[in-house]
Amino acid sequence: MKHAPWERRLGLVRAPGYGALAGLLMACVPAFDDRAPLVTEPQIAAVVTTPAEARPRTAVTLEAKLALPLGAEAAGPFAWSFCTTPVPLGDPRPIAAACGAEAGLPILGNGATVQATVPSDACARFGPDPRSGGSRAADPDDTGGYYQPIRVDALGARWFYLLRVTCELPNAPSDVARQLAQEYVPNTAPALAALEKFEDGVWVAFEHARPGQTLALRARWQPEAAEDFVYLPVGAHSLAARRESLRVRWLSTSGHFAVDASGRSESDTQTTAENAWTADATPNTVRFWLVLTDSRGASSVEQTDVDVRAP
Amino acid sequence: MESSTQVLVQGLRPRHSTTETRLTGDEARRGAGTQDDAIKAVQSLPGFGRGGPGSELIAWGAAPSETRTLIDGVEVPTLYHGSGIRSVVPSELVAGLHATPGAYDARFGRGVGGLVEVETRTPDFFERRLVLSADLLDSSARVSAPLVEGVSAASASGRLGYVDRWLPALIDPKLRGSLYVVPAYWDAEGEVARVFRDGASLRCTLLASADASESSTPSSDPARVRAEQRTLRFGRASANYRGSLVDGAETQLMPFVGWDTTTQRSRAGAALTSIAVSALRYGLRAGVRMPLGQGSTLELGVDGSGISADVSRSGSLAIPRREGDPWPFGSAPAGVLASDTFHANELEMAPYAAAQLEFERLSIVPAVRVDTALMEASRGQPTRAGVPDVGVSTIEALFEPRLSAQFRLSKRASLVSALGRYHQLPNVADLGAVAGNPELGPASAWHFVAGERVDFGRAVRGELRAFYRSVDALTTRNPEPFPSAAQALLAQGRARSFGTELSVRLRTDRRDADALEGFISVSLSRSERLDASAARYRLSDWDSPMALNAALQRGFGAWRISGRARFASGTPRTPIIDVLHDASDGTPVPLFGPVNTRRLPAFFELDLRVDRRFALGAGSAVIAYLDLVNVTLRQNAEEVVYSSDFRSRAFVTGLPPLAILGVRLER
Repeated sequence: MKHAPWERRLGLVRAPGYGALAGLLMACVPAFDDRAPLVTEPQIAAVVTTPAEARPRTAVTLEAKLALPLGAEAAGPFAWSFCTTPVPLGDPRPIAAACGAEAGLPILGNGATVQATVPSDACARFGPDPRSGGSRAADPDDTGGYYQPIRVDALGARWFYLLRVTCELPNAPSDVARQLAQEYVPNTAPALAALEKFEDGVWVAFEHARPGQTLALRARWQPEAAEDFVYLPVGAHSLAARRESLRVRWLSTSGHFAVDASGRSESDTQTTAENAWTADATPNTVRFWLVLTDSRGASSVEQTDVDVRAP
Repeated sequence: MESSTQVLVQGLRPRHSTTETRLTGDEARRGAGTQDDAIKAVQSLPGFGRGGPGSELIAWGAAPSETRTLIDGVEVPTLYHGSGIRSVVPSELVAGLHATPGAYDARFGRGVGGLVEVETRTPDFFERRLVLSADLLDSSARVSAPLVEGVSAASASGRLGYVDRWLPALIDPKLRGSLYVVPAYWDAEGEVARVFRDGASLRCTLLASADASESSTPSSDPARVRAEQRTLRFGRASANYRGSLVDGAETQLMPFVGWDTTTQRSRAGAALTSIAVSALRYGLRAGVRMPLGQGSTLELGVDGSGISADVSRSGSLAIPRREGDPWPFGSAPAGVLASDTFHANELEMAPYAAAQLEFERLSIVPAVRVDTALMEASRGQPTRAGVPDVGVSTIEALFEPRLSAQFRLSKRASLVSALGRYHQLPNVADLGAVAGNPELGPASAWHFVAGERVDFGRAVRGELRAFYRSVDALTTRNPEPFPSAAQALLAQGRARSFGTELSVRLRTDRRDADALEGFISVSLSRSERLDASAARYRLSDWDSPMALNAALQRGFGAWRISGRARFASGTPRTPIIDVLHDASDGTPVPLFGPVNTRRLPAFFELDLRVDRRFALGAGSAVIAYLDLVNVTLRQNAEEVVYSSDFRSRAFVTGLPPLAILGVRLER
């Protein structure tokens, strides 16, 4: 637990509360070493689905993109299933705790890549479609999207992924629903173009580094990676257009990053996300994974190896 | 300094109340740890627990929203500015405090918890007065003057907080935006008072208060940008007529009108949650108390109150956090959004009758209050295309019998007891069809208390009492995975609390300025909740099995020294027992254990205060004080905070040692 000098001196709260301490005048919030953990054991960096957004009853390919320590191999099996229980109202988490315990709807196959069909009732359980008994329709996220949770039991842990499903809007005015059906373009996964380092005043491909060196890095994507889309804002009666935000998660097998994620908000049209990375003091080979995710939930993963060697 | 004897008695007050603790404004203000703020003294009175580092009042284990707060008989949404650093009425205006943790009399209702009343001073009818005070947090001024000597007078006061202006200047500019800044606040009060030839009096008062706070956490990661803004503003205008009839009866008529506005905007990534409530408040209190002979009286009255509110909200239903919600400190809710805009009315008219019957050794107050409550919401179901909105209206008659008694065992010892039924209408902001339930009904409670009061000579009074409080139909979240439409909340929660309290008050017979005053109170209690569909009670967020408060103050001529010690069991928290891994954005998702099955470490704080009065002649004086808070340097845990992977945890600690210097000028 660390306390910055100014915190010790003035004892001031850092970070918004969203909880019991909102409004507290003075306190000391401990700081953890929350730098991105190194990839020291196999983990799922992301789940990539094809297509990135699907309607109920359509086929999708689910692929668990793995981040493995150098020399390690993924140990199966991968047990996939669709969750059936939505998040209780008011629960601040993105997935129901019950999803971690229930059997769900099993998906055939036990590999890192499986084929599945989106459940026919995905928009009724997790979306706006009416259910019998007059139950409350699910709420969308801030991009107007609804998501079918998917659980993956693998690598000794329990993972989940939210697959964006395309649903009609039965409670919206019919002309708005019709316009949305005509104009909405389903999401596609964004792709990274390059990983670059800043050296000698220019950005160049990141292929090697010196032991102990701290480098400015950037992940670059094509402008079309941030897609435009229309959606129905909550409480609105007409469609609105917006642009995706993009976010990069940075993973590596050694060294350390300044931040574990960075990106661009939807109003920021730049096509890069920056970070700083410091190499270990000893020469080695470092494997990087960059997970690029858009605000509608689709991801892609790029992997690259970099030699850390003395000049 | 103005004397409390100049205060016009507010309304009709029973001769004794079984569970009430009274303090004069001067007694309350001089206590250590209050920073010269009289109303802060309530937080350490018998029956009131410590709800956290802020201003929440926990009465007999009840949620803060269940305790009514009144200023001169008019209900206000809070007694404290935002973070509890100051009360909404300057100390120089406070004539007295009446704090009742439960089982209060029939004049009051609309709450299933406790009751705290603040009495303010009237303007001086004979002399002009001026009080100026300033410290590191704010400055205030009060001026009062007779309009017609001995007949009418007026006063005005105001306070402006400025800690939000100088404190950020001391911080590294790069960190300013991420600080949870103290609120900007102000309050203002005005009054015109008149006494009539027949002894009747009229007070017309205005009160306004405003708070605003803002914070933000910028981030290079768009998903981790955080920002929050909150405001709370309210105002009240009231007239209070009090008169006497020829047969010795006393009458009171007090209408009031006011407004409350609250806003909260919380941003987590691109997801924005916005809640705004704008409400018109109005009410009427009227009564007559008649002598029945031999010290007995009969009081008849009516207590009416209404609220007409426009509510607009959009964003996460997880905001605001509700009792029992497990929510790791600093985490943001998932970005699922809902929107609702509606109008709601609540109107209550409660006639009551209370007889105070005096017998040789027995005083007994049987009373009854019948509260007719109207609840309306403009929309009974969420909006659907092509379906017109249909409102919901409910009327309920709420029968509230009350009984209190005191049996004098001897000249020094009495047995006391009280029993009562109480109701509280749902929060108007919860009557929405999307985020709430337009058909929520009132919560209802039984309060029971019994004990013994003993006077040990003229200087020491002790009281031992046991209490039990049970509440039905509390508003809780709907736990169903597929709840019915317009039923995000249910009136199906239950609560109970019980315990025992021992309190001893000390006041020596020495002349007032040098009197040794103090109290010690110890309470053992338990506060539990039963959620909708749950089979077993669990600990409530406000459970504090043991609390000890002790305060002592004494004057030495112009000097006065006081100290206060507080101990409280740590409040319950819900443990995190495991995590799920989010392969969508890499964020671990916590899995919680049973609700409120762990506790924060116990709280202890020792505060000291010294003040010095400098006489300036002609009745003027300057009072300087130094308030030393948390002199033992203890780091009290106020909240649990987790690392981003939820594998490590630590505590947010509360007030560091503080020295607050202030000065007050009285003329």
